[in-house]
Amino acid sequence: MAEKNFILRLKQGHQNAYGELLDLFSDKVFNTALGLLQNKEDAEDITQEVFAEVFQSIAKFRQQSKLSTWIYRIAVTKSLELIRSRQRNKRSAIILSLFGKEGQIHVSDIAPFYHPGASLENKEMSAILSDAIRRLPLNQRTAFTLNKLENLSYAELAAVMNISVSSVESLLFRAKQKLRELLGEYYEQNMK
Amino acid sequence: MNAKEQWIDTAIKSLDGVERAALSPFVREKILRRMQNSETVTDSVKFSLVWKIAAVILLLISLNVFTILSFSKSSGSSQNSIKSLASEYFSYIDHYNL
Repeated sequence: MAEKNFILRLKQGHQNAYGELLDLFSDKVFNTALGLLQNKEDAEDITQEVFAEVFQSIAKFRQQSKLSTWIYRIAVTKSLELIRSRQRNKRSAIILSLFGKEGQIHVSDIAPFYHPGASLENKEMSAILSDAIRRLPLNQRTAFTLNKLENLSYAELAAVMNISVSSVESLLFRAKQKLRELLGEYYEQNMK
Repeated sequence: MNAKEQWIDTAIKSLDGVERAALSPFVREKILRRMQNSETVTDSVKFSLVWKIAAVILLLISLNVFTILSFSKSSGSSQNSIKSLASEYFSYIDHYNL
């Protein structure tokens, strides 16, 4: 009931409802984007886009899901769109470089990501894990990030990703397997 | 468990309990202002849209009224031609005793 009233106030354009919306969701959206994009500036840009979208679309929100599910879904969609567009640009640049155009390509030129919320003693290790997460397929990356960083339950994850709970379990299992494999390779190359 | 597996376990757990990063207050303020400004723009867009729709409806009504008036004038004159045609016809019948 409280959520229904809140959504009604948002739809009616009550100014203080916007402030409440940001209080409730801005950090959640920011951290979702930060976990997926592993870049603070990108995460801030995406956070702005998410709330612009929420503001524009709230009138059409039919409350078939919880407000939080809907907002998380927008955050994930926009973050993945940015990742995909960067991947496409990278592929184009690689192709161009084969024809001697557009300078050199640096394939693994991504700076390590130190999550601002990670403890000091875990900073280095978390950067290694973040690098491994970045190499996961996007759906596994999404599931793992939301489960690990946003503490979403399997049911909540299923609602956000619009898949079944068993699909979530399968994604997380495969994500952890893949991460162990990638971390094992890192260990072999760097720690021995 | 060997050293490698232990190291992997430690790495996998390195993000456990990570604190949520806070969105910069500057960015938060920017988002809030954008929402509030969008509402002002939306209001003025809605207002001018209402006037445009009103103008179109008025134009349609005027066109319909004009058409109806034109039709009723021309139908008045066509009624006269029907009457004169009828009177000619019947006088023809009378003339020739048909």
